[in-house]
Amino acid sequence: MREIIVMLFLFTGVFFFTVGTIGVLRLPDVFCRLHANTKSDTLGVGLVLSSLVLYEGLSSAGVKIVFMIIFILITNPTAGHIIARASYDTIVDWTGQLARQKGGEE
Amino acid sequence: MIETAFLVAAILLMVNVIFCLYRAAVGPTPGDRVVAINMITSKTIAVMALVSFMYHEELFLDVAITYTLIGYTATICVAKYLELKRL
Amino acid sequence: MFFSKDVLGMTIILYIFWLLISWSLHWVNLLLGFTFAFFVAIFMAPEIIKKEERPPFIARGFFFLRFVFILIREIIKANIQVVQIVLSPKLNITPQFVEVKQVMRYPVTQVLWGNSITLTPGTLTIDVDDKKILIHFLTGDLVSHFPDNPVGKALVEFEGRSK
Repeated sequence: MREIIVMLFLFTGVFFFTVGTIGVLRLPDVFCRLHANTKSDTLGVGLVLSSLVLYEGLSSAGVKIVFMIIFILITNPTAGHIIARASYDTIVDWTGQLARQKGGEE
Repeated sequence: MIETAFLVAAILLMVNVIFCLYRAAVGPTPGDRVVAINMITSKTIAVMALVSFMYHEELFLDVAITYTLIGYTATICVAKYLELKRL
Repeated sequence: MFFSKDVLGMTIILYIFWLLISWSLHWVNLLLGFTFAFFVAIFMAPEIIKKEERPPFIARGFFFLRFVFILIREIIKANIQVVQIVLSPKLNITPQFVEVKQVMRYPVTQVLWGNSITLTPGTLTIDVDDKKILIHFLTGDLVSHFPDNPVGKALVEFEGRSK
């Protein structure tokens, strides 16, 4: 019974990873790709690692994996934000305008 | 049974990594490449945890924790270099 | 001089982290962990802990847990939306940049709010300061729904004031 739940979590996580990869390949510019990166990767890592926690239970390995989930939850959105801010000044997006000029219009 | 599932999941993740490498090689701007490298980092962390459970070797988990933090630092360094043109 | 409340708190946090990671109660391990935690805290506490960034409200556990649960629900919704957009044969996206007002008052909640915006459906934080936030929306019809974001309401309650 527990193995079925573990495998369900594991393959749902792998599915979200795959969706993130397809999103990075298909979406048109950096900012849209960052949407796929931050959302899918955070939930994908969370699901795969929580399946391992469910499989292992409370032990030293389980505690280490819980710490990894917490680090990923904090660091992944922050990394996405800082890539977006670095790209915002310099990069032309998919409509051909400089991103900063477009932001100024709104 | 469950070890086979871990193996299949790890192989699927490595196939994903190959497609991400395509984006890292082709991606027209530096931001695209950093996004692809960031995705590869998180997939590698998941694969490291899975391999650690396949071989019952707890040492890989320490490596995975360290790799989480190092990957984050590397992403921030590259993004800061892109923004300020210096480190 | 060397010893203050900041150093004490940081030593305790680092020591708990060491004990959980090493997962052993041998006396060498306990002594070594305390030494490392104490020296790292003495050198790094003045660099990391800033007085002016400390939140004036008391962190209340119930509201924080409620915020975490709402955030996890929103992450799952965001992923379902990403799946719908990415796997549809025609990409129907209308990306745009919008500036909205900053509603959080303290640095801690501003950081949490920026990260939550990135993880909620269709939005991505680009720039944050005290006055406003610059957000990239994936589809245009999300802009009007943005002010009634449940994560933002939970964070405002966590700050301890009614909207």
